[in-house]
Amino acid sequence: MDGRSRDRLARAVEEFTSAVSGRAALAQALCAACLHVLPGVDAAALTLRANARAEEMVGASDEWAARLEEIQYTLGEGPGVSAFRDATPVLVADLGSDGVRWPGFSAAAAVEGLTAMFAFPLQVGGIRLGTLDLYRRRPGGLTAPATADAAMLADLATYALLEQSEQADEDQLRMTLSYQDVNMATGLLAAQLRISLEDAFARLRAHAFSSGRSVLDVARDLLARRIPLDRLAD
Amino acid sequence: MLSELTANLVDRHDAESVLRLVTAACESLLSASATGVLLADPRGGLSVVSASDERARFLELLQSQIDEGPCVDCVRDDAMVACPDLEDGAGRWPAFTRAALDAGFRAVHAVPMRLAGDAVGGLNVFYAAVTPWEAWQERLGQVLADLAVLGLSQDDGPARTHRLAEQTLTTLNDRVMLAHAIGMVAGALDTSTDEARRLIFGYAATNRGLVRDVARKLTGGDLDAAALLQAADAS
Repeated sequence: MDGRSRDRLARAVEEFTSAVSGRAALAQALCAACLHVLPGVDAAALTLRANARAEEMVGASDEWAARLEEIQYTLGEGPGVSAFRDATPVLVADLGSDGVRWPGFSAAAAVEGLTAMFAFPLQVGGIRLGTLDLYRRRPGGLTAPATADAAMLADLATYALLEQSEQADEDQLRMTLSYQDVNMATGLLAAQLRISLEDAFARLRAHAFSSGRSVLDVARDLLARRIPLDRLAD
Repeated sequence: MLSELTANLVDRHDAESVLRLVTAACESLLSASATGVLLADPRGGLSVVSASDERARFLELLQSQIDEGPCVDCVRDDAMVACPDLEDGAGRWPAFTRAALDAGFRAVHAVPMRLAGDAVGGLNVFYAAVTPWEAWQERLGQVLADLAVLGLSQDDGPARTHRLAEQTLTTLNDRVMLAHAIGMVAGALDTSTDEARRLIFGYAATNRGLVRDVARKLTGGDLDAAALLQAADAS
């Protein structure tokens, strides 16, 4: 539980993603990294969801995974949809015995030859970007180390996608998110401007950048109502 | 106090609620001025998963223990670290000691949180005055640290450390999500973040639900901030 497994996974991700540019290519490379690292996983897909019904598939390791994503979206149900909605990993070792939970998806999955599936939310608190879905043809769960690795890969993917839009350094991003004042200010901004938490966080960072101040300082000013909101409303 | 904690552990619980009870027990039973729980972050280093005082200054002090500090030593050596008077400890952790004294603390005790024989984190108990711990306080501190680990990981067997790695990621996420929810409630009701926090915890308690679930519903748009106010008025 030290940083060693994270470093190993980060290096694997780096190996696959270093040469790519653009969000779709990055997602594709992240899926390839997952297949490379995780034993017993046959396919992977990374999907960005604005909400449970609307989604934008961004990357898949193959056509099969892309089709399985499409099925979940069309039906509006499945482990990926549940993982996103409930903001928690959904691990299904045998879809056949879980048919009650997602009747439509389980039936379609059986036709496609899918028997096990593991879905991880891509999220930082209330900022929910989408899911990482891992597919398997044979029944059976992931091992405990593989599950921990998969959770970490989902986390690395989340930060990679957040960085992609802001070109921030990962450690800096992590430090910023450890300040509860920043997170509370993000929520405050989202509620008052009626925008998503993701957009609110982006505006907070953009305002800090353009005014040459730290994100934390701007967040504190917002919480103390020292900055008029329209300054960030653009 | 301890029975409330153990009852919470056998009942349905979330990490946030258990850690909050541990923090409260440190204040009421050990007379702590402030408490923070740090866990080995699967992503590397130690991360704050719970703090009695969410102000940036205290969090920065906790999180400053990346390279040095009582919690770093406590996790590395898997042993309790006592610093009853920080003014005597300046040589050991110069940067941390300066920051702690500046923040108004004079003593700190770090208790290892153990799982399957390894230290996976530390319970940090701060005091505003010089405070040596007696043997009973050391024992109680260890009991509270053990309860905190139990609250985070109730699986048995070798899978536990891996489960804890996942759980730590989830707990860190939950902490951010709660702050998002607090901010959203404060913004929607145009109230202070302290009041917003009180409303969220009150709503969870009234509905016998989990704080994490309330935060998830608020940030996911499945629960309106106004509903918290109505529930508070009704009770």
